Amino acid sequence: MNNETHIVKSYEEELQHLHDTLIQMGSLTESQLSDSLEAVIKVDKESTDKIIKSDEKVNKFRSKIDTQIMNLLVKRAPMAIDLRSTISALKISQDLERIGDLAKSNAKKVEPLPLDLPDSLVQSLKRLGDLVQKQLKDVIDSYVNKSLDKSLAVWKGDEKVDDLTHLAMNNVMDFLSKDKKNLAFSTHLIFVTKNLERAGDHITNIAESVYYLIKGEYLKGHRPKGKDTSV
Amino acid sequence: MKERKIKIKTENLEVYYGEKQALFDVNLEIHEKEVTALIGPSGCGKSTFIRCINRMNDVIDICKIKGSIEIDGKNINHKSIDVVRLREKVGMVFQKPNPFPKSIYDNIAYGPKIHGITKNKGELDNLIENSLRKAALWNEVKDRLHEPGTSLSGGQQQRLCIARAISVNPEIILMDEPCSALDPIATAKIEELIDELRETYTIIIVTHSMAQAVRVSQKTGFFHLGKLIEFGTTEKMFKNPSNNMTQDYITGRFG
Ligand SMILES: Nc1ncnc2c1ncn2[C@@H]1O[C@H](COP(=O)(O)OP(=O)(O)OP(=O)(O)O)[C@@H](O)[C@H]1O
Ligand SMILES: [Mg+2]
Repeated sequence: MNNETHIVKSYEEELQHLHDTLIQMGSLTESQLSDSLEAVIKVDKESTDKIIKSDEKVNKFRSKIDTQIMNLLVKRAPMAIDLRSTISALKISQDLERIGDLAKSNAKKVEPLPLDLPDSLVQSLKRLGDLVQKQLKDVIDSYVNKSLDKSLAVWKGDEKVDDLTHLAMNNVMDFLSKDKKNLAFSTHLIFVTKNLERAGDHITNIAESVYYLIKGEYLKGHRPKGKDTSV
Repeated sequence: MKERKIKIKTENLEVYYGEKQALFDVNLEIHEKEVTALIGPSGCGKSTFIRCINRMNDVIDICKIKGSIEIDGKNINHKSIDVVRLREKVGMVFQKPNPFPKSIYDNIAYGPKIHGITKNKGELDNLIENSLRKAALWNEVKDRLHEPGTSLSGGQQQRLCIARAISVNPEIILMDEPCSALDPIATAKIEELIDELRETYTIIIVTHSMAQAVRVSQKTGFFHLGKLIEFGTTEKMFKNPSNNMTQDYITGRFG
């Protein structure tokens, strides 16, 4: 995008530092999301404490990034591409923090789950979770490589997330209708499913931020929408 | 935002100082009652450009101008144009406040007297009060109108110069780095003033501060080595300029 470097070295370093911090935050959020998904799928009650605690680290990244951005705005009054980098970093870090919260929320849902969830139910949750994880990985890649195509692909990919959410939700409902005893677990699984869908929405936001960062224009048109998943 | 009427238009404008060419093929349209900011590195031709608009370059012997400059559709370099009338219509404020070595009152009275704008002392007094009010200086000087203009602070002197410029009822005000010698408070007052003056006048301001351009202007032009590289809305310019050179300049990346 821009190969020239700033005349003021420390400005260059501050922007680079912000960029690096955001990527670190992104990869931590990725592992939070995948760890929490794995915990749900395997009903692994041992691992959840660590995931819940790690959410603090994601939050710390967010406040670190806030501070860096405030300093940049005041010291440098960034313009053009620098302004867009700074503002996108602010927005992306907010979305990452929310994805972290959702991962934590899912980790908390593992404790009450039975160990013998039906396989089809687990599989449909896993398919959804895997896709959301891939979307997160791709959107972070699109940020790192400043790839407009990739950000656009992620943005469009949210439709698929909605479809898989719909399927997973149906399976949860089936499970629920089979036996009244399943009611308690099912509520938790509904939340897990919904949380994954919401994480997908935050990933779509990030794709929009990356697109704006690169192009300087907002993505036009309506958000992709899959089958209705409201419950 | 509706497009306003074109007030100033240059076509293929080229300016030479002797052998040296200072402006190359500048084509620009400036709309009425808008603030247009001109930015660009030192020596890129910003002052040269605005001096063309009230023919201040006429006084520089070696300066030659090609191409056309129109105000309200009329070529200002045409033989029939009266330069004194032109300068009445196109006021100018310079980088360094330059009040005449006269009283505050006489600083402003000078122009209207030359141009025969007022008929008697009462009218002149009114005009002076009005000009000082428009320049947001009246309250600070109303009790000392007969003290020398040079006794004012730098920021006040600059507002006095603005009052002087508007006293002759101009349509266009050219400002060449009007705040570069001022502190942040005085600068804020001038910027606030520019915002008010925009209701009445077409303003072109040369500035070295992109942040100032963003604060005061609706359109921005970026000059580099005598060429107009990019011209457009200020908002587009600071968020997403089309030209890499503009971007490098406003982000502080110029090599
Ligand atoms: N009176 C003059 N005689 C000869 N050359 C001149 C004269 N005035 C300006 N120039 C030359 O014309 C070019 C443009 O100068 P100009 O003053 O218009 O630049 P500028 O953009 O206003 O710069 P700055 O930001 O430093 O005020 C420069 O190369 C300058 O040396
Ligand atoms: Mg100049």
